[in-house]
Parts: sequence; structure tokens; C-alpha cells
Amino acid sequence: MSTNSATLWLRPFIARPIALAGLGVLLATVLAAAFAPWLAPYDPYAIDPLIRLTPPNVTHWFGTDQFGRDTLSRTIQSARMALLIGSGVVVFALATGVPAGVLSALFPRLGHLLMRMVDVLMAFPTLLLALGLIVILGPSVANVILAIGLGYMTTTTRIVYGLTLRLRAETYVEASRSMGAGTVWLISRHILPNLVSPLLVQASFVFAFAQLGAASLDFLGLGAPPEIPSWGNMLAESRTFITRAPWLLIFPGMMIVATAFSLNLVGDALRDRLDPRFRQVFGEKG
Amino acid sequence: MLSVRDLTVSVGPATAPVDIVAGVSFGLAKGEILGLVGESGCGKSMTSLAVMGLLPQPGPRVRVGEVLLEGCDVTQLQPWQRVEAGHGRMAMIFQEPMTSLNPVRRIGDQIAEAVRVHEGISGAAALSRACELLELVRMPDPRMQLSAYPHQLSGGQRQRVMIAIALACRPQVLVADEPTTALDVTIQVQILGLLRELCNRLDMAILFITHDMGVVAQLADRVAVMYAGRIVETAAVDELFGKPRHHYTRGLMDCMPSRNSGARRLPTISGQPPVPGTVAAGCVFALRCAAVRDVCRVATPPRMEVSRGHEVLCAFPLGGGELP
Amino acid sequence: MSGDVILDVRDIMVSFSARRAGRKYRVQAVDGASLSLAEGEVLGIVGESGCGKTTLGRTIVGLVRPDSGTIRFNGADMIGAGSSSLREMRLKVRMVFQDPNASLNPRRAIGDSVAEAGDISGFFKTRAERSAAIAATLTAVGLNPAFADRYPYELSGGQRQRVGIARAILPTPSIIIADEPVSALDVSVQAQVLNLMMDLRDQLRLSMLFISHDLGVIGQISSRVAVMYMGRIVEHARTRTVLDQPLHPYTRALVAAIPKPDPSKRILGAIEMGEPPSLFTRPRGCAYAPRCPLASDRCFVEVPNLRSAGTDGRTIACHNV
Ligand SMILES: Nc1ncnc2c1ncn2[C@@H]1O[C@H](COP(=O)(O)OP(=O)(O)OP(=O)(O)O)[C@@H](O)[C@H]1O
Ligand SMILES: Nc1ncnc2c1ncn2[C@@H]1O[C@H](COP(=O)(O)OP(=O)(O)OP(=O)(O)O)[C@@H](O)[C@H]1O
Ligand code: SF4
Ligand SMILES: [Mg+2]
Ligand SMILES: [Mg+2]
Repeated sequence: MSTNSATLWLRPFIARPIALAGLGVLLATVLAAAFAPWLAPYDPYAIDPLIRLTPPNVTHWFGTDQFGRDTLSRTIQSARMALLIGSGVVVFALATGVPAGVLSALFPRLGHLLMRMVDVLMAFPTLLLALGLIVILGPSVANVILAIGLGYMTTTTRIVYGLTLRLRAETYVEASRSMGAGTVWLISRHILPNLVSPLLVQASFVFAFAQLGAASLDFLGLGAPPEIPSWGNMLAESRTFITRAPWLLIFPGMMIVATAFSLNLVGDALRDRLDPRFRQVFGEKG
Repeated sequence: MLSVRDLTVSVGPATAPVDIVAGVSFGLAKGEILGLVGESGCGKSMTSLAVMGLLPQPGPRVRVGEVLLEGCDVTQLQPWQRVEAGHGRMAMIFQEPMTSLNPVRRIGDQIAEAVRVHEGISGAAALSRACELLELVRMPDPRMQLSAYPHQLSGGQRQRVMIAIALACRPQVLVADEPTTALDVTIQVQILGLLRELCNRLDMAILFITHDMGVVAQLADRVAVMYAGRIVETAAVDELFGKPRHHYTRGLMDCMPSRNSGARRLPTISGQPPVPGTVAAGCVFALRCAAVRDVCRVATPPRMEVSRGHEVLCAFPLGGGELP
Repeated sequence: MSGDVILDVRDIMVSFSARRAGRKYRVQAVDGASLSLAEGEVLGIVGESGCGKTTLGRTIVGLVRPDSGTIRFNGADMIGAGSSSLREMRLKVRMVFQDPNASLNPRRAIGDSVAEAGDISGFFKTRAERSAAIAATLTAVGLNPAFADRYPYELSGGQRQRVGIARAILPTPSIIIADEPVSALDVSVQAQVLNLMMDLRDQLRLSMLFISHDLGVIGQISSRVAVMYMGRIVEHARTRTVLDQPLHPYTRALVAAIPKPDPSKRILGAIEMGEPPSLFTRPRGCAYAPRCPLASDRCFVEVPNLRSAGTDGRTIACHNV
């Protein structure tokens, strides 16, 4: 199986061209982040007052901003921040939300307490919660991750809680319990494997919304420090030029939408790959 | 009264259709109960839905064949045309009464609504007709129960309500798709008794679908045994149970525990029913048949009338039969 | 009856709290049921839907904690047992579930499901031993050992139920609680699975509690039968005796209502039977009294207890028979 496992993972994508496109966009973003210094045609920080607000042209494909910095280079550089915040938020949300949700469902007393806390947190809109936290903690990349992650931890906990409650009542879990299985066994053999595919979807969703959240915080000046290029910072800086230099908004804006959208497509395709029923469709046996 | 000819229901693309019901023919006379019996997935529900013109859209469709209700082909009509043409007089009841009833409306209103649709009469009159219908289906305390909600009724009572709703259009044909499968035996007897009584009293024809040979023996006048989308044997009920001619029918009866209590082992039919679309040439039962011969695997068996009103789809029926 | 009592269940009470129309009720799902199972014996449990058959089975395998009562396995208390001896007993008393589609984890390979009890208890010493045991067990239930690597969706209902049975016999138990193991299967497949269970009973000398609502099936596989009504056992006797001469009024109705596959013996309309009871409004005396043709005044005030009736250890709970 190892010889062709790569092609097996690719099959659900090949079967669905739009997911393949999404995968392409994501790969491009990751590559851009990894090789930003080599890919960027100019230094993303270099200021050149002579060419302020040039529209896209042959030398500056995406045009330049109000300081004459190359928009293409800055867009590429920003992929780093996007991926950092996105994965940070996903890791935080899953690492806290999954245990909280699973344990709440398995231990009703703990669940009662935890779910009330989650309810309280969920009463605040995610962005408002993040804003409040940033105001308290002060703006920094780590705090952005924490602030946004907390908002998605609550939704993750709720989802996992609901799913686990349902799984706990499944006959095969009962069968396992009747054979003397303990909590660890139930979680590792029955609950987590059945949570993987909904969590993949949740993760891609969280990643996508983390982008939007981070962009919003940047836009309000509460996100990544303004000197670090990020798509949100780019939007924030250029908003006053929206009529004069729309390209300054279009390119970073497009990247936010494209990565968010691609992530959802890829999440869907991966979920199908993990569903044993689809293995047959994609030609794998056992 | 109802005559189904060569009914074929298919799914899949028009270029490569998969027949889930293949060439089913039967007739149904006034006051007669025809039992359609077969195992899960053999196409009983699809047949009944096709007869009612209720096949889910999109998906299965009637590819070939006709369903004649008093000489008029209902497969060619839209449901509303059938009502207008006076051919709406078919009704159906399903296995799970709870899913067919609106949980937040009183059952009286739900029956009255069916009455209004079919008879165009006003609220009060419809409600009193609803009460009559509940009486007809022998609901205890019909006047009180009009204001009950579905969840306040037992499973058997809910099925009675479903029958009452079905009777609201004064059907000539009632199609019942496993109406007692979800009920206890003690309740099942009552519902079966009720259907028999209604059939006699209202001179209705009933197409009764079930997978339980016992239920068929109790209720039906004639039986059609279905296997893999085909009717493999049709006969009057006494004849079928007394002298089954198809090997599948015989196998089904033999493996019922209640027919051979005391035996150490139950006779079985080896294997499982085929998946639609995988049926190769020859007899559909060839793979599981104990009496299979080489021709069975290549040639589709003939439909033979082994005695009056007793047809069997088999080249070598049990107890002999002249080959055509 | 053969051999000693291996499972002894006494006066089990199980209740659940339920909410209806905004009010909290307690539903007495099992109401003082007692039964005993001898080694190598199959005891059938039959009764209407909701009478507590499944709950009783789940209580015996430890999925439900009874409010009171005792369950003894080979003389040892199962309810108050310490965790290590309990673990051992869990391996000895196993359950087969009704719905073959729901009882297998769709994301686990068949082999892993079959070996689950062994894996939980550390029964297998080596991987090779484990795969050999899986293959042998799959073969024993009439499946190809190659199924070990397949997933449930690739199997038919009958095959899945065979997997459910395979899971219950590895490592070999003493008792199987089978909760309607053939009810979800087609008649022709049902016969195959019943034969398999009878073979296993003989080969492995299993004792079984065979729960079903189908007296025909019970008659085939079990030597004795307990008839349950609203959480109580109302009649308990040899299966043949019950089928041929049911005594308790409820058993009589149940036996009479079996749809016999014989058109010359029609019973439709011949049986008039009241509505099934609601567990929320349990009668004070005999639970069957509101439907019972023999009910007398006493039946409405006094609960009949199981008492011996005739030979063969037949017991019955009725004032008027
Ligand atoms: N929409 C559909 N598309 C493809 N196949 C279908 C569709 N609906 C039903 N089938 C197939 O058609 C066959 C007949 O189904 P049908 O529901 O008529 O069976 P049945 O005899 O009523 O079985 P049961 O006793 O389980 O109700 C089945 O094999 C089923 O898988
Ligand atoms: N976990 C639960 N919580 C609340 N009520 C329950 C629970 N489990 C069972 N009950 C109730 O207990 C009663 C007995 O249920 P049980 O499942 O034991 O019946 P059964 O005899 O197995 O019925 P069936 O033949 O339908 O399977 C029912 O009224 C049911 O609603
Ligand atoms: S105790 Fe009375 S009510 Fe109960 S079954 Fe016997 S006769 Fe009927
Ligand atoms: Mg059906
Ligand atoms: Mg049950």
C-alpha cells in the first residue's frame, strides 16, 4: 500500500477538480510562505517614494502602495503570517476543544460545568471576545492566536460534545463497554476515529475564519504589529486609497477569500478520503 | 379492477438502466386481497410506489409497462389529473405511522383535512366524517380521540389513524406497504383483522405487501412471491401454501421456524439475494437454487401456468410441469 | 435442563427517569424479574415491545445498573464485584445486539471488531496469535477469514450479524445474551444465522439468553422460555409446553396471535385484545388485568407472584389459572 498511497490520497481530489484547484491554491500559499524571500521580486519593506501608488504594470505586477512598496512582494510575504495564525488557531482550538468536548460528554458532572462556561463564552461574538482579550493582553502574534483560538475553542467544544454524546450511545460503543472497555479504550478506538472527519471539516472552517478574524484585528490595528506584512495589515493601511488604488485591496482581499475557500474544499475532500465507504469508490480495498 | 402489466422500474442512466422491478404483472379484483411477499430489497416498495404513481423524484422511474385502474393507465397521468379523472381512488398506508403523521396536529384535523381534499366539504362536516372514519377503523372512543396528538396514541392506534386517512378518499384500491411490521403480534392480528373486515365491507381491493409468510397466509386471498424484482410465483393462498411450485417459495416456507418446530436444524436457502444490476442471464434464483440445471444459468425461465391461476417463473417447477 | 445453574438473576428492578409533557416520570422498565440459566441451556425471553427485554439483557452485561436485585455468575456476585474479577466475568458473559448495522464501528476493520474483547483484556500474547484467532473465529461463524481486513459497509446484513456473533465468541465465553439477533434479518438469512447459533451452542457448550419477540424463533432454539410482561416474568416453562399449552392469559394471547403460515388456520378477528399498556400508568395489581379476559377483582389490587404450576419447574404469575 505504501507504494501508491500518495496516489490514493490524491484520488478524491482528482475525482473532484474543484477540490484539486483548492489544493493547488493551498500548496501555492504554503510554497509562497516557505520561499517568500526568493519568490518576492522586491524587498517587501523597501520604500520608494518615487513610485507611490503605481497601478499594476510590467515591473510591479500588483502595483505599489502609498510608500512605493511592491504589493506582490508584500502579498507573498504575508502568507507567512496567514499560515502561522491559521495553524496556531487550529491547533489551539482543537487541542483544547477536543478534550473538553469528549470529557464533558463522557463525564456528565464535568460536562455540566464545562458546558456552562462554554455557554458564557459563546454569548460573546467571536470577534468581540478576541477584541476584548487583545485589549487586555496587548497586541502580539501569540495573543492574536490565543484571542481568536479561544472563540473557536468554544464552538469546537460544543461540536465535539454533541458528536461524542451521540457516539456514546452507539451500539458498538455499548458493545465495547459490555466487554469491559475503559474510558481510554472507548476514546481512542471508537470516539476519536469517528470524530476525525467532522473535525477535519471543523479545522478547515476554523483555519478559514481565523484568516478573517486575524484580518479584522489587523484592520483595527490590534493584530500583528503594523510593520509585519499581513493581508489584514495591507487592507488596513490601504483603506483610505480604496478609490484611488483599488489594487491595494483587491490582491490581499482575494488571497483571504481564496485561502479560506480552498481550505473548505480540501477539508471536504479529505473527509471523503477518510470515510471507509469512499475507499471503494476510489479503488482501495482494506 | 387494477391491472399491472409488465411494470419495469429502473434507476440509473437511460443508457444503462438498472431494473429494480422487472416485468411485474398482476391483477387485483374488487374485494380481493393480494399479498405481495418477498425479502428485503426485492422491490416490493418500488412496485407499490409505482402503482400509486408515487415514485420518489428524481430516481426510480417506470421504464416499461402500465398500471391500469379500470382501464385507464395511471402511469401516464400526473397525480392531480388522476384526481380529476376520478382515478384518485387509490390510497396507501406505510410501515411507520409516526413518520407519516404530523406530530403537532390533532389527528381529527389531519383526518378531516384528507376528507376536505377529497370531498370538498366544510370543516364541521369533515370533522364528523373523520369521526365516522375513526369508528370504521374501530378506534376506541373515536369522539375523544379526535383531539389526541399522534404521540398520545399507541403504535396500533396510529396505524388505525393512517388507515382512516387512507379511507378518506373512499379508495377502490388500498395499497398497504408492511403496515404491521413495526407492531407487536398481538396488535398485528387486530390490524390484519381490521383490513380484512374493511375489504369485505367496503368491497375494496387491497395490495398487501409484507415479508412475513405467516401474515400472508393469514390475510391474503391470492399471493404473489417476489424475488429480485420479479414475481416468481402467483397462486391462490391455499394452493400456494399447500403446493408451492417455485423453489424459492418452497425454500422460504421451509426456513420459517414455526413450520418445522422440533427439527434440529432449519433448512436454509444458501447465499443471499442478488444486488440489483448484478443479475446475469438466466434465472434470477439460479445462484441459490438447489435444483438448478445448466439451462437455468443461461436461459430466462418461462412463465408457466401450472394450474388455473397458478403461475410460476421456473423451467423446472416443483412437482413437475410440462415444458413449453 | 443440563448441568448446574450458571447465571442466577434475582428480583432485578431497573427504572429510568423520563420526561413527558413537561413532567418527570419514573419508568419501571424491569420490575422484579428473576430467572436462572443452566449450563448449556438456551433460555428464551419473549414479550411485547417495551416490556423490558433489552433492558434486562443490558443489565446482565453491566450496561445498566439495576436499582436493586442480584446477578450471580457461577455463584459470584456480578454487581458488586471488584474491577478485576468483573473484567473476567465480562469476558465470560457477552452480548449479541439486534441491529447488525449499528453494532459495528464503521471505521474499524472487521478483524479489529472481532478481536476487541481480547484486545481489551490483553488476551492475545502475540500478533500472530491474534490474527490466527480472528481467522479461526471468522471461519467458525461461516465467514471467509479474508473479511478481517474489510469494513462493515462491504458486508450484507447477515454477514454483519455473523461478525457480531464472532465478536461475542472470542475469547470463548460461557454465556451469550442474544438480543433479537435475527429480527433484522431476512427470513432466508435468519435461518442461516439461527443454525449457526445452534451449532455454536453445541460446539462451544454455550449457555444463551435468547431474547426475541418471535415465538417461532424461540421455539426453534430454546429449551425453556420466560414470558415477560411490563417488566415482570409472568410465565416460565419448557418451550414446548408453553407453545402447546400456554397457561397464563397473556401467553395464551401471544401464542394465539402468531401468524401461522397456514391459510387453513386463520385467526383474524378471532382474537380481541385490548390496547398495550403504558409504562407511565402502571396498574396497581396485575399489570395484565386491564386486558385480561379472566381478570377478577383481586387482579386489580394484588400483584400475582410467580408460583410453581405443575411439573417441569413451570412457574406462572396469575391469580386465576
Ligand atoms: N433511489 C434509488 N436508487 C437506486 N436504487 C434504489 C433506489 N431506491 C431503492 N433502490 C433499490 O431498489 C431495490 C428495491 O427496493 P424496495 O424498497 O422496493 O425493496 P423492498 O422489497 O420494499 O424491501 P424492504 O422489505 O426492505 O422494504 C433495493 O435493492 C434498493 O436498493
Ligand atoms: N436509557 C433509557 N432511558 C429511558 N427509558 C428507557 C431507556 N432504555 C429503555 N427505556 C424504557 O424502558 C422500557 C423497556 O425498554 P426495552 O428496550 O427494554 O424494551 P424491549 O422489551 O427490549 O422492547 P423491544 O422489543 O421494542 O426492543 C421502554 O419503555 C423504554 O422506553
Ligand atoms: S392475575 Fe388476573 S389479570 Fe393477571 S393475568 Fe391472571 S387473571 Fe389475568
Ligand atoms: Mg419496502
Ligand atoms: Mg429490545
